[in-house]
Order: sequence, then C-alpha cells, then structure tokens
Amino acid sequence: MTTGNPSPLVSLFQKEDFDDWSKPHLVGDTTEYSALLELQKMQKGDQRKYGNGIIVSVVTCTEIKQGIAIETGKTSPQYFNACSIIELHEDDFKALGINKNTNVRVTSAAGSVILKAVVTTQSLYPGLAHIPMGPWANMVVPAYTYSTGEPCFCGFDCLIEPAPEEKIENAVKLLHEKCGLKYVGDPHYD
Amino acid sequence: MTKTIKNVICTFCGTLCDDLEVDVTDDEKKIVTVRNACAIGAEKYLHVSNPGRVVLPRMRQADGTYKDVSYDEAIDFAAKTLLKAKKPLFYGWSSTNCEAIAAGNVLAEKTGGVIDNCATVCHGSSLLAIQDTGVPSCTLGEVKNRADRVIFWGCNPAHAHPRHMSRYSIFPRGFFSAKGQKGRKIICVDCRETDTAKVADTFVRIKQSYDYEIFDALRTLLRGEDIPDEVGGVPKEKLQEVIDICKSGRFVTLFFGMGLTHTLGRNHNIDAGINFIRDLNDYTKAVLIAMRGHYNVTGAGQVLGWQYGFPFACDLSRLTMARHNPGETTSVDLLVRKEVDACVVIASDLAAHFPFEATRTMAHIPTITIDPHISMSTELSDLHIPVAIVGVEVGGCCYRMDNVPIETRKCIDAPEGVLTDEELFNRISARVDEILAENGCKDASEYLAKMEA
Repeated sequence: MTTGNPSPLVSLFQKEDFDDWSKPHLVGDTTEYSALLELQKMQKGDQRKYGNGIIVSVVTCTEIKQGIAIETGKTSPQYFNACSIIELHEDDFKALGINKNTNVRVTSAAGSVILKAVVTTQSLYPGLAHIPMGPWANMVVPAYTYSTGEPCFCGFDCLIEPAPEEKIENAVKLLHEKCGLKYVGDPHYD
Repeated sequence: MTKTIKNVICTFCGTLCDDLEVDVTDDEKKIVTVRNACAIGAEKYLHVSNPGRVVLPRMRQADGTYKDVSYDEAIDFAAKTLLKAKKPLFYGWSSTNCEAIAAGNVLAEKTGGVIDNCATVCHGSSLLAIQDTGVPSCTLGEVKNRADRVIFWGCNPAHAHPRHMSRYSIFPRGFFSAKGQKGRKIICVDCRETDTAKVADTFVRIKQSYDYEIFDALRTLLRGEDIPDEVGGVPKEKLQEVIDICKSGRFVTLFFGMGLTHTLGRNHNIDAGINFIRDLNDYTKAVLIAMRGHYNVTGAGQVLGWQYGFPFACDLSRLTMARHNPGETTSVDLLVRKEVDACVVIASDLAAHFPFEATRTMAHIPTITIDPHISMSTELSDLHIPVAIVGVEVGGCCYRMDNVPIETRKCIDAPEGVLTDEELFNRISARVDEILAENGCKDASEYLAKMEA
C-alpha cells in the first residue's frame, strides 16, 4: 500500500449489532469487517486493487463549500452537494474504471456509505481520498479514540467500489435508517 | 432606509474578525447587507432573515413527527429529563457565548452531568499536549506585526478560516513586517496540496499520518545531526530547506490544525510540534497557535478551566468533585460505551460531526438539542429548543483562537419570544430547583434515590 498507513486500528474496533443497539459485539461479525481484513492480507507492495474496488486511506476535513452550506442549512441541497462526495486522485478513477461524478460505495471497519466520486480540487496522491466532514463521512469514521476522545477522522482505510446504480440518501433519512428510527419524511427538505 | 452597524464581530470561526459592517433595516428586524465578511460569515448573517426559522420548541411524538410546544413545557421536560438521568451529557458550547456556558455549567453541576465541548473531537489532543509540555504562544496581533516565517501544518485556513491569511498570517503589513507578504516566507506541511499550500512559498507534502516522524526529523536536523535520505515521503534536502528558512527568520509562527490532532499520534504529534518550536527558540523567536474551529470553542475551554480546572471532558456526576480523564469522560467514548443516559446538545451538531456509532447512542437516549437552526441533531432529538443567535441577535463574550476575549455585538432583535442560551439555562436551572424543593430533596442524587425507591 502506498499510503504508508498500516491501519493498526481495525482489530481494535467494537461494533454493535444494527438491530439490537443495546448488545455490543465484535466488529468481526460483520461482512464489512471480514472483507476489510481479507483485503488487508491481500495488500502487498503497491497492490491496492481488490475485486472491482481499490483500497485507499481516507481523510475527512472541512471545506469552504461545506462551511457555507452549514450556515445555509443542514437540510439544504447545498449541504447535500457539498458533503456527500468523495474526492479521489485521477489515477484512482482509472484504477476503479469509472468516470468522474460516478457513485461509489465506501466501506470501512465502521460502516458503509454511498457517495459521489469527484475529481479533487486540492490535489491528493494516489491512494489518498478526501470526504468533507459531515454525516456521510461519519458513516465510515471509526469511533476508536486512543484514549484521547478524538476518533480517527483522518487516515483510516476504506474500500471503494463502483456503485453507479445506487442512490445517495439524504442525511436525515440516512441517520434515521441507520439508527433504526422511523423516518417520516422531513418537512425541511425541499 | 438602513442603518449601518460597524465593527461587528463575526461569529463563525476562531478568527473572530472584528471589522464587519452590517446594514440593518430601521426597525432592527432584518439584515440587509454584510460587508468585509468571508463567504461563510456573510452566509451566516444573511440567512438569518430567511423564512422558515424555528421560533417555538419542537417535541418529537411517538409517530416520529414533531409538534410545537411552549417554552414552559420545554423547560419542564428538560428539567425532568435531566433529573431522571443518572449521568447526562452536556455536549457542544462552542457556538455560544461564555455567559451561557457559565449558566449551563451551573445546570450540569446541579444535575450531575458530564460537560464536554467541541474540543473533544477537535483540539482536545492539543490541550492534552499543552498540559504535558506547555505552550510558547502569542496573540494574532503579534503574528501580524512581527512574524516573518509562518508554517501551516495540517490546517487549511483558505477553507476553514477564510480571512485568517489576509488579516493575520500572510498578507497584512504590520509594524515590523512592513513588506507584508513579500517579507514573509510561508511553509505549508500537509498530505494534500490544499488551497493554503498553493499560496505557500514552500509546500512539503508528507505521507498521511507521518507528522510525528517529520517533527522528529526536523528536530534532529536542527541539532545538526543526520537523518535518513527520506522521512515520511519527504527528501532530506526538503526538510533541511525548512530548517534553513526557519533559522533565518526573526519570528517563526507555527499554526497547526486537525491534520495533526485527527491522525495517528494525536497529542504526541502536538507534543513533538511544541518541542520543535522550543528547540527553534535556541536560534530565533518561535511560537505556535492552534487553529481553533468554532468561534468560541476556546472560550468553552476557558470557562470550564476557571470553573473546574479542566478544559474539556469534565465529569461532574459525583456532584462533589470534577473529574477529567480523556478516553473515559470524553463524549465519543461515553456515547460509544453507552455510559450516558441523557444528552443535551448545545450550540453544536453532534449527529453531523460524531462517528456514527456515537450518534446512534445519542439517537436512542433522551436528547434535547438547543440550537437556533435545524440540524442533524435536532432531527434526532426528542426536544429541539430554538434560541437567539450569538453575535447576531445577542452579544456576549467569546474567545479568539489565541485566547483573546472579544465582546460580540448584537445587530438585530431575535424573533419575538425566542430566549437566549443564557436565559434558557437559567430557567431550566430554576425549574430543577423547584422540582427538587417540591420533592424535598437536597440534590440530584437524593432525587434519583427517592424516585427509584
């Protein structure tokens, strides 16, 4: 792997069962996690390809568009457009065999989310991806804090697979569904 | 006709720009224009008058929809929820004024809660490192007037603090820096070439999460020792260049951001950074300043600091003493381990900015969100209480990223009937006192024991 981050965290995570939130159990029970483990075994040298996806190190940062959209309103289309994206290096688009602005599935040890892959405006290197901070990014941010209180917002491994048929959910619906709450539609969405 | 209010303090980011001009209508109800603000600051002021503002508390019903309730009902619900909880979490505080934070702390103390501010997922590690190592720092005014070497490490002011570069760090002409940008050498260290890196004289692209190694290598070079040909993806020559630039300066300032605190190493990265600056002081004057995000996250730490002695993650659940143990009393850990049984989100958006595992717990315990706007947290809460916006509809004290307190200004009136954060906390506190008195209880623990019996 070129990013140089061996992601030693993966084995440390705990994850709860989706339906019964009161019972924690090891993250190893989920398919997402076993996929990632298998994937880590596969990585040798610069080999980042796995199945029809690639493995990248992800950072989540603030961005000016996201900042403006926060002030406009978190249920606004601006916020949706600013935050439900993943920025990739052009080489990674080639490795994935997709065009820019295609939806992809991003999976980490913490979870999975559909995002739109876009070309970065602030250059990355191949194997490094960026998701603007927000509810979408946090679906894949591992919550382990190394006893500092700060989760792993930067530098966690993700598998990115093309998912052109999948739809990106709006943030409120996404959170409700993943939390197992009833989503009754949101009057604040356009 | 409109009135112009000058020298308005922008309450968006930690830079707290103090030169905004806001045009308001004669009746002081609406904002017409904003001048001098960045794109984000302008949006903050202009969208206040947009239709759709929530002016009454909203309570979630069993079917998932919300209904409007009165402030009295909301305050009663909040007081009862907090008293019933064994360990409520009070998270947020960074987008409100210090007066409200102090009032909120009183409530947290009465109900035996854990108080935590946004630093916990932001510069909390920096605060840990500062406690360990100390901090050679200065004010932003000194940076403007003196700095001739500026290093941005793992931060991106072009996006997160849009006017930082023009007001303090790169472009302004100061007393001893009359040449402005021409007299300054800017170094940017980051894993991606950000828009800040594009205006820097020297950009050092490092491999993600190799910050500690690079600080170490720089310290080694500074002491005249040899390092390997490449460290963290950076050639030795490049690192030597950074050292030469720093040593030749009169006043070096290191600004650091989430790039250091969110990656592998956390507080140890900042430790290494502080020690690098300390070593550099053998050759020239060098300081560092944390790029604090929200406009009053520094103030939240200050108020907690002078009231309880800890800047964040302060556990008051024992009612008689304050405890601070990062990893145990920090919000994310508390939520992931489900150690809190009620949650108050104040002036912040937990649901949008915490990892999902933490958010899920918050969605399943009784949650009260106090926020002027609709956010992800309000949509997952049992109760949303709208309040006046600090810096727009109410003034108050806020701390800039360099720990300078600045009194913010009121521009327009809040919608009729909407309380300020401070008023709201005082009223919830008063209601808590009433309930305790009605039940003849001395404090929250006695009340809990009585309820359980």
